[in-house]
Amino acid sequence: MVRSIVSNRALFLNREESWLKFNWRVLEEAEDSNNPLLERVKFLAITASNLDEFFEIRVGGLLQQLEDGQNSTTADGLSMVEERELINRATHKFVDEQYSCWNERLRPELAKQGIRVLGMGELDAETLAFVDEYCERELDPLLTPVTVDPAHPFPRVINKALCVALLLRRRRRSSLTYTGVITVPRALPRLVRVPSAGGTTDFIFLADLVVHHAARMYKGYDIISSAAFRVTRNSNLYLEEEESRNLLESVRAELHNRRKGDAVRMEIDSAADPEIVERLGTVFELDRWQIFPVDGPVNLSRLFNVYEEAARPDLKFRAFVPRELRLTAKSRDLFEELRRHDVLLHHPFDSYDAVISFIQSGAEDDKVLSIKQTLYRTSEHSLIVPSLIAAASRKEVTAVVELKARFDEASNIRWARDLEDAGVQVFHGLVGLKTHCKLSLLVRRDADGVTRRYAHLGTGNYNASTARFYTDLSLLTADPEITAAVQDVFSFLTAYAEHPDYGPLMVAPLDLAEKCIALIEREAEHAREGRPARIVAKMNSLVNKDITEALYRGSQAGVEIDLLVRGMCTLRPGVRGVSHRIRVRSIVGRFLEHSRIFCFENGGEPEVFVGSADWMSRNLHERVEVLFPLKDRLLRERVIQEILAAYLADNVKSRFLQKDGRYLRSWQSPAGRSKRPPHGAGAFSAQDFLIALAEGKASPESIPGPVQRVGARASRARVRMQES
Amino acid sequence: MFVYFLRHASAGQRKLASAKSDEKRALDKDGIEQCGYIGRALSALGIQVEIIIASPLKRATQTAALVGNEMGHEGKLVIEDGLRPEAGFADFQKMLEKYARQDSILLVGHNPNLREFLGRMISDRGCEAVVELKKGAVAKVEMRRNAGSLSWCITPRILRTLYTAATESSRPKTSRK
Repeated sequence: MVRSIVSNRALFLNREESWLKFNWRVLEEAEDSNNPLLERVKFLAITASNLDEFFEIRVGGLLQQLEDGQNSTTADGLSMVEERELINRATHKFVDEQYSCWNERLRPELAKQGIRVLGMGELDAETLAFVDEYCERELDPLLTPVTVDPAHPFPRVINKALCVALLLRRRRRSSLTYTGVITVPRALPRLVRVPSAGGTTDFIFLADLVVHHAARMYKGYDIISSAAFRVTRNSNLYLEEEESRNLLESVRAELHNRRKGDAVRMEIDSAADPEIVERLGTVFELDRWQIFPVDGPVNLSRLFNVYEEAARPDLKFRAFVPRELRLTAKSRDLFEELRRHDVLLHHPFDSYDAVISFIQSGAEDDKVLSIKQTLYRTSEHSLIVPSLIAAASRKEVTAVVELKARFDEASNIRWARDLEDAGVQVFHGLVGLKTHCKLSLLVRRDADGVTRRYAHLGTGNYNASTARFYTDLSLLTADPEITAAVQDVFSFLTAYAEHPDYGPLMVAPLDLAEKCIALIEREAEHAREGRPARIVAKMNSLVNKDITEALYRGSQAGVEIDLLVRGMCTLRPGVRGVSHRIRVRSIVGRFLEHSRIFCFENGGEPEVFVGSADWMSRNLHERVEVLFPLKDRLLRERVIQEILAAYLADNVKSRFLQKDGRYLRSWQSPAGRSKRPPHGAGAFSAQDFLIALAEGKASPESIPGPVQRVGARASRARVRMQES
Repeated sequence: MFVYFLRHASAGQRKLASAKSDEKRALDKDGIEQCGYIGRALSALGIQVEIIIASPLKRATQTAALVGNEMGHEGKLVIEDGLRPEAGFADFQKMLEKYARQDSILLVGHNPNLREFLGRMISDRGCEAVVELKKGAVAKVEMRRNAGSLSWCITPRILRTLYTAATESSRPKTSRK
């Protein structure tokens, strides 16, 4: 029985609420005493920077739309005003919890471990002397006490920059109060290490130092009240692309303007005088709800510095050595290996070095004639860009650089110029479409005289530092069909030459969405015909009406569907008659789950697709994405029986989405009674297992069966996809 | 490469006490206001620089920090002795060489030598054009192969006057006091 679903609002969860729940899961990790202490601090810092981005982009965009008079309704039926109210309540609650976590749990526990974040009142005489000297030497030359009055406008307050506001009164002239503002240059470290007599590692927040030093700066005034504050601004890039003469210039100018966006939120010391809060609220044109009084540092994301600077490996995750790629005995080099068979790497468990050396050998090997490379986000220390620059003089090098990678633009612009200067042909992708696919293509004249193509296709960005803590998949291949299709994608990206088909690849925005839906419908057909039908899909987010409805139809037809969605998910699972065969999990743990894997049972002949696209409208229609099939049976089996099986069996870091929108741990029951969390042999963490596997200490046979439902004991039987 | 020469803003009178304490002389209220005008003007002109370089003296570093903030510049302030009040042209040139690869830089220094550096940069070798640099004034120089050319020079007073004129209301004043 197929029921048609036409925008039934009860079948979609709210997107913003779903995102906020993802951030709650990260906060849960900060509260989890099973995590090492400094890692908990890092998780807390991550929740803060996540929330920054949420306000900068999502809330900024929403408020902009409200201001523009737009009146749309969300997929789950909320008006924009209702959505704003939802965000208001949810974010205030979240922030209260963040600071409770810091003040009541993490900060005291850090102190017990000898890492202290001190307030000014807790300093002894010697430390105070150090602080005074530090202020004089480092702060005094750069800070200027500005006084604001009707004749003198507020100085510029840069997005997310630390500032201190003061309420001042002239000595001996009692009635009038003035507003003072000190802007703190971003180059000054937000957390300052102070000496300690007792062998502890002590820090103090820069904001506290500035407040302390302010008294010396405002001569002739009494400081009635002082408070650190931080303004978050709308950071959506509003580019008029079609008209811009030069994309590089436009993005540069727009990057500059991003800082001028409207204020969206202000975090301010909760001890601030109400007078200050009101004046600032007026200056920044903020509604009451956009002001967040906080009992602690206004820039919680800076706690990351505690993680970095405290030299305490005992309070961090145990480091592990990723597995290096080993060539089989017969292969002299990686190219020979790839001529024999494809190679699949699961980062960070498999070292990213193999990808770097693939590209480096492309640059160094004389037999390589040309290199084509996409660059979406790249770290300053990336080894790939220097390789491309080095190769440019000797071979044909093409780079497709995505300038609009959010918040990474400054880094990408510099590299784009350096590449151009070196002689690399730099393209900026297609107007209106972000280049999000991760592809690398080498053309090599091999020793036997044959010219072949070798490619790298991935789910993760070409960034060696994120490759250490994001999970991602890389395929290295010399398969003629796949590499020819990669070549076609590059010609699409560089010369706007469109091909009718990019098979066996699926390319967004051309045919990826329709092919994914076709795959889901094919599975539904298998189910209706009584053949094995199952979908296991892993992605960062699921927010797309068409795909969601296709999945609902699949469930109704009898397809068993397991979704591993780390972040937002607006699909509502477990609804009888609609989605009761759909289970949604989110895994949030030591590594950021970033890989995208789509596995279809296909009646007993499983197909596995991997790539750069999430099932989100922006991936499907507004970006260039690539999903590629795993043609090699052994690689498919690895993905199914090792990787996906591990994630499905995870009962420690998995959260299970319920139909009412709640996420529950494996030991919590929907009715509210929780069992003990699994422990000892009964606990299975997919990420820990994959580390052990890479270190040679575990094998896929030891993976337990998938968790069937929350509150139930894990099944011992392995449910396996059959290869015919 | 574009070089912006900015003379530090008003910082009160020279103290007759030790030279060392004079280095710590801070911007006064006028100086802070001047920085505001200049900074906002540079920002309005869409000017972005890669590096801001200042002399070690407090009035220069404060000027650099305030103006930099208005421009939205977030890099670390670079301190160079080549911009000290007593630095010579040779010191200045040597310092400048370090930044030859940059697209545009902002220099914050003192008279009389900053004015001299500016004058020599926009003239033929061995010559020095006479340029006046008021406190808080900024000059834009485009460096070419042999010499630089002066694009414009603007002072805080000009900006204040323009701003006041632009915001003046043409309605008659009603008060008859």
